[in-house]
Amino acid sequence: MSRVAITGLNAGDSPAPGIPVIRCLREHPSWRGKIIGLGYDALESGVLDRRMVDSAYLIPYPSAGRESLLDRIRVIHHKEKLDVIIPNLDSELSNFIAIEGELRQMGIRLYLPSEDQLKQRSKTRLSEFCQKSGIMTPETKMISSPGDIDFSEERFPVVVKGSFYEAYVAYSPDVAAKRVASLAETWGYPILIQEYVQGEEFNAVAVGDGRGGVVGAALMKKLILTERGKGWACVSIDNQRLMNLAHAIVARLKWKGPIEIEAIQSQKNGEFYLIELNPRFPAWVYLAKASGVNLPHTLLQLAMGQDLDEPEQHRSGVVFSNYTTNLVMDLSSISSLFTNGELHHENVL
Amino acid sequence: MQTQKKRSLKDLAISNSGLVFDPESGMISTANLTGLKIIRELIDGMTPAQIRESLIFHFDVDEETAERDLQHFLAAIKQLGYTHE
Repeated sequence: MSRVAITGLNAGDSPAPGIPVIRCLREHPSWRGKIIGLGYDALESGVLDRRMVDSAYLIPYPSAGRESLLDRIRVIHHKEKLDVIIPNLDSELSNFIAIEGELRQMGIRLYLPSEDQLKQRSKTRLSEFCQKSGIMTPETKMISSPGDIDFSEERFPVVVKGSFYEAYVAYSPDVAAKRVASLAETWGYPILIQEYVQGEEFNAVAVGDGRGGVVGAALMKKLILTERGKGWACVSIDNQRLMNLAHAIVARLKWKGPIEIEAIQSQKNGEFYLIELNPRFPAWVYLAKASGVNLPHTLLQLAMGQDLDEPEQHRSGVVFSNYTTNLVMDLSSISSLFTNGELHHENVL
Repeated sequence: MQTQKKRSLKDLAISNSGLVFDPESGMISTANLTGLKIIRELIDGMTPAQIRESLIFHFDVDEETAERDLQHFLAAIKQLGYTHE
């Protein structure tokens, strides 16, 4: 029996990967275990879903630092006897990587890259990584302060990106400047200005073994996009060039753990331009499972040191469409989440 | 400048109801009865002239209509980046 803690449980309009990861784990035929949700807010929708999480705990925001996180995990571990933690949000990864050693001593396993690997694929260093690796990527400039904003020689449209989250296409200097200001206010500097490559976006998800090998991978193309460019409906595909790109990236980084690859296939020349590398499962990872490759379960087996299942055959033509619903409950049934920062669904009538 | 390589119609997955899916690019489209017939006959290796005759016979249309529908469809698949050759 596995006791697995999962973060990233917002399942609202911009769903995080946590609930899809949980679905992948729970739907594996051999799953026997308990899911412990780790949330940042009492109304983070996934923590309230008793079908997904057995218990839920609030953890401190990443800005509180590694020691606060470690202290809180100690408390949770004392109650839950965790086996594995799967973090699913970019902003918390550095803290989890920093405390991985202490967690291992407590008997809690993670399967994560090193801090150096995390930095190598960051948005601010992606161009450098691509240049060294012979991978195509759009030209990218960094704005580190308001004084750096100068679009006088920029060719539009451009893509304005926060260093962690959010990306917007801007068709004029005015719009670009507003986006920079807005992103800087939310996420701080640096802000990235990226060349706009005309073409369609393709995505891959993979699990790396830390030695350059890919343990499993799946590919998809977005069919319907949200206002923020997230894939609302997607289809699994079978594209050897994209798969080769994913393998090359994992090999180059010797990546350990889950990684999402976002690329644009240029309309002009058909080449794949790497846009982003996200150091965790994407919110569409359930599509990978539905198309035959249960990557969260694979990750769990790797973290636990178990023998892996036979490699699965990934198939194209599986469609995924996001579907939002409402969770309804009496406030009294979740009051402990507000007052004590924990909730045990088995105790809720 | 390298241009995008044209894909073959033979790489497409086509359902009897006319759903057309490219497993490599993720393109999803639909073809009506005429389009479905043309695409299948192109994949089978029939020439445009043979397909035109097939359309005339199968749909009981005149030569002008068959030729127009055929050319329209060939232009559409070319626009989408596919070749029937």
